Amino acid sequence: MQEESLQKSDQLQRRKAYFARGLVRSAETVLAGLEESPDLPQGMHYFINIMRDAFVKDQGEDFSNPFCRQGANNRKVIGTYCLMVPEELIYAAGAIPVRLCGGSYEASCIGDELVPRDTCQVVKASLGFSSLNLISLYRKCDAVIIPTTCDAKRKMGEELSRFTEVWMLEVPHVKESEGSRRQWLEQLYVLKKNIEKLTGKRFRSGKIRRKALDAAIKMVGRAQYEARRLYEIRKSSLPVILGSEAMLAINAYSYNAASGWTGEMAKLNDELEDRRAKGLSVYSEHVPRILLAGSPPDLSQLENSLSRRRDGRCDRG
Amino acid sequence: MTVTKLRWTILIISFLVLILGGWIGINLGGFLPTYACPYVGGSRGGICFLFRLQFLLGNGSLEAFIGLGKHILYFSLLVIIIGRAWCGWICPLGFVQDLLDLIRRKLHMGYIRFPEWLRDGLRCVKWIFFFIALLIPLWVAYPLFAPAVASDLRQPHCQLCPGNYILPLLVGDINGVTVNFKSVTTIVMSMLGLIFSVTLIVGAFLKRRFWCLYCPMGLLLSWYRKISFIKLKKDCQKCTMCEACYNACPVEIEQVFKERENEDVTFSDCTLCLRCIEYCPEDGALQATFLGKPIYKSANKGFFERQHIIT
Repeated sequence: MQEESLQKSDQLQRRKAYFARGLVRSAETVLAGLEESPDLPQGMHYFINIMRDAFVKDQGEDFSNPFCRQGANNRKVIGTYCLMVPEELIYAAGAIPVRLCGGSYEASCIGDELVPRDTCQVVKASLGFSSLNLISLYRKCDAVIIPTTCDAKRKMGEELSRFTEVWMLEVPHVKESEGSRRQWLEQLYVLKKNIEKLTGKRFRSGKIRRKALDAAIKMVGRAQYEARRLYEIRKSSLPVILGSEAMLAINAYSYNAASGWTGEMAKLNDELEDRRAKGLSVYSEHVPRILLAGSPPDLSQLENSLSRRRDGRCDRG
Repeated sequence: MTVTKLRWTILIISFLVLILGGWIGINLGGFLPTYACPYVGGSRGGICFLFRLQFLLGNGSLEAFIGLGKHILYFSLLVIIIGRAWCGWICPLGFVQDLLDLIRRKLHMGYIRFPEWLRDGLRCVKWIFFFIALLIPLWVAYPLFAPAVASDLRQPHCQLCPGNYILPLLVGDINGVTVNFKSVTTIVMSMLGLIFSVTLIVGAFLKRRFWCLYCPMGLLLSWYRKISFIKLKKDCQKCTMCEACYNACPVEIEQVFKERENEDVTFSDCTLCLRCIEYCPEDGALQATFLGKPIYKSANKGFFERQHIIT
């Protein structure tokens, strides 16, 4: 009996190691592929390194990413599962938000065993990561917030609560009604309480204060402004950056402090505007573009859109 | 200069002109489509249209009705030019409400928002005021029954109007702020007026532009919105339904963000304060036009500048 369970845990260990190797290999392939691109803007290196910290260098012991590593120093890390989660509240409480949402083909294979076949890849990968407990991003989260944006995510909360603390955030699906606005507001008040409870060890210290919230809103607003600028630049008929690169830069926001990301994004945007002014483009104006929309952009999808012939333009979230 | 600052400037100037302008000889006439209260006394710079309307209807003579026609014509011309911007940019009572709102914001207090069912329920209030101003003066002119009551009901809307009590108070005239004990009718009317005044002050402190939804003058002005020169327009293709305009709107018009088909979003409650345009984050999604020419457009840059995100 003991022998059998030992054998099982040994199997699990081996499987974990196999998975970790696969993850690192595929992530590194994508990132190295991007770095080899001759047209890579200088500003991109920062974002590639952020992704490398999160998926390649990370071995589950500790965050290799300095932003997330703050989590180890008595600051709480809160995982979010989509753009709908108000990160401002998390920042204002002094916690660190990281956006999870899968991000690996290998992880989705693991998740395949936990959920029905027709579940979406994001859910499979998220469950895969959480169940394997390998990457710090998923391991170190003190709580995760899941907005009920789609059917799969609604069901994911229950499965995920076996591994970590889950707060569901019910997103109203109709914008126009007064009821849904009220409901959303109520949700945010509950979320605020939850965050305060998690961060506030001592009385008042973890409370979300007006000034802190104001500063957080401005910080996230600045990040949104820069992201918007990138999309404005990409709207021009001259493609100055590859779709996969832009996707990676946007996606790096999930694993980085909003303030740091904004600074680097501003530099990248300046560089791209400079390119546009000089008429430099990554390929000809007449190459057809394909719009990728809907699912969150991640490394596994980057792989698909890496082909030099394609230009994936993908929305965040 | 932001539109809000410009609006404040014009509000202050028009408040001074309408309430104190009489001292330097300003007289803008008796047909102003705004609460230029005649009860302010000698310092008034003009007279509210509703006051003259009730006065002329209550007179009942043929000359008075002819005079009324001329009056309505001048009034209509003034309204057609700038529509309900009279409410948002000029009205002294609107200025008082905005001032109370400013104090509330400085105290970091939130504001109340009425649920839609309550808004719908209170929609009849301005009609009640309007019919009081229109029908009771006719009874005063031709007192077929209870003439003793009718004689005490001159200027019935003015007796109820909060402006009658609040605006004279602002120039230091406290004589008007009492219950009129002349007869039972005047006691009831002045009591109601005082109650409305207190309601306005408390209401405007808790809710933005509280009284504007119940103002009969606003109702009159809103009938001109289709032919008025100034209009609020929306490009429904550019709108992302973020609700920023709805949250910025002092009279809380929901349709402005809900509208998906029609270009014209000058709704009847809209006071044309243009805050929605200022707060809109999409380039050109909302705009104000004068005779079809755009005079102010929403801009993404302005949105971020206002939040001090970019300088």
